[in-house]
Amino acid sequence: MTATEDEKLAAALDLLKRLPPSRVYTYLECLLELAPEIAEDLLANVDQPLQVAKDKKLSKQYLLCDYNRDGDSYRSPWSNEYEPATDDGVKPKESLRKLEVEGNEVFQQYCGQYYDGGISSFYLWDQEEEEPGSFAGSLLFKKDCGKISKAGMEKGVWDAVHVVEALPKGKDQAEYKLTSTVMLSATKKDLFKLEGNLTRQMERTLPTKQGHVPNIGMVVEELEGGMRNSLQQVYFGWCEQVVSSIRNSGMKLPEKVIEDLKAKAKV
Amino acid sequence: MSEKIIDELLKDAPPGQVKEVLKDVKTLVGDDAKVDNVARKTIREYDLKHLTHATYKHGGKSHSLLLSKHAETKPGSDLYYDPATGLCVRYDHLEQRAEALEGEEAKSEEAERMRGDEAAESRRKAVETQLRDVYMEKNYPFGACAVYVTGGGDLAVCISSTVSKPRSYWSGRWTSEWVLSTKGDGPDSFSLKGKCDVATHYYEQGNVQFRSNREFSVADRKTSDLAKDCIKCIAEEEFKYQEDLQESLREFAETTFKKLRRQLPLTQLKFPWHTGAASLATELMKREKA
Repeated sequence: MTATEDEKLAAALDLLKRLPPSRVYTYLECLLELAPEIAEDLLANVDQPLQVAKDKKLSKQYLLCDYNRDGDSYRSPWSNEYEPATDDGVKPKESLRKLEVEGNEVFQQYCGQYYDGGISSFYLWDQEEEEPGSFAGSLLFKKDCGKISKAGMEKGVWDAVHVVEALPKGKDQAEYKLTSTVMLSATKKDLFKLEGNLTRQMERTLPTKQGHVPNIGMVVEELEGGMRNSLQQVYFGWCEQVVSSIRNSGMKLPEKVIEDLKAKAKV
Repeated sequence: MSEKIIDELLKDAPPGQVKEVLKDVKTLVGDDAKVDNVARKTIREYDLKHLTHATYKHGGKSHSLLLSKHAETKPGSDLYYDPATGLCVRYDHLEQRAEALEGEEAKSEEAERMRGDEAAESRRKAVETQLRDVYMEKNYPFGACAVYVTGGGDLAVCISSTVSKPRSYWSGRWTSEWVLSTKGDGPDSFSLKGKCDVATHYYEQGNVQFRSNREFSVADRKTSDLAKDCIKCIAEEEFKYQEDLQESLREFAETTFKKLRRQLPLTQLKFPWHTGAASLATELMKREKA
């Protein structure tokens, strides 16, 4: 008996949760060849490391993802132009573009303060077909640190993908549904490679008179801060504990300690 | 073409999760016989590479069997030698089932051949006892070990420990493979070459994987008690490696990780979404840098 499309998608997503994140491209290729019918759903559900491009007109860096892609071109959040240029690339309508411009300015400052030199991009698209006045957006941050070379011993890469849906609630409120994924890789030369991703969700209803951009910003700031702590726990504390529970280095590690750590790692 | 894909997806299965990965691959391929056919070979290689730990029953008792290239009686035969009992064991890599050969079948030449000569066997036995009773007990509460006489007359020391907690979404594995060679009749001295591999996987609302390995080489150590001295030497090297791992993880968390994303902006306040203070904070950052 052949599996349904839903069963295949579930199996493909389960596989991607088990196999090493560093080779996600290879596995995606394999999965798409095995089950081309799930391609669209699969790609929409898998976060891949963010690529960086440069807006040639304004000489500013921006991030590439599925949300600013049209065919083989990507739209810059700064100039609103597609590179390479396309005649019919989708662009947000005027009111959303206005919000997008405001967001890119503010989130660039947010990025400067939390990431100290990272790259940010904010993209919006409307979702009027779902509900009048609703829209969705993605807020992306990327930061690289250190390098592996003759002199460099450590390298860290942080890619954050925040996808937010805003739905009007009554006359003066909106509900914000946020799904955030942080992909983090940590490499120590000749010793270890630690990489992966965590995903968390959050919902908040806030008054719209404060403005959508500050509202989205506050929700992102809260969830991202919590995730930063989870990542620190899961990547470094947790990993050390697990290694010590396999090979006992003299530290006592009952299951309870591990359960405690897990509890702490939850947002 | 899909043979290559099946192999690609299976060979990277995280510790203790081969069955789950196999099930997903079967759902996607839709031809169980074809998947099994490829999987038999891929999982076999996986088991030998990662020293998979199996158990079998014999004489009313349960015994450990480590799968490794040292235990193969003939390449590809699925028959493995357990040096601790001297038995040949058949292992089904797909079903993950081990069964000791009985009766006529058990009196195989293979087992005889793998035992090595009496001197080597007594040296092997001494190292095995020391490893199992002193080292494993204390350091690998969930692990298994085996010591083999290799074709060249050296001893191969294998350790494997996998912990899998599917209900709390994590698993981990530590394997060590050491080759011990000796000089003199005593023997008077020994050398060790080794490799440790560590992998962990965390997959609750995410997928986080840790990979590490280190190779070791210890040359010409004088000895008057081979078993005791060589296990002590292995213990020291492995302890040092684990200590390095722990220290480096802490250091990374304290330095590079902090530089990736701050816990709070330099102002020690959350981002001022509703005031014009954002530019003030940016100004502060600039001053800090200057």
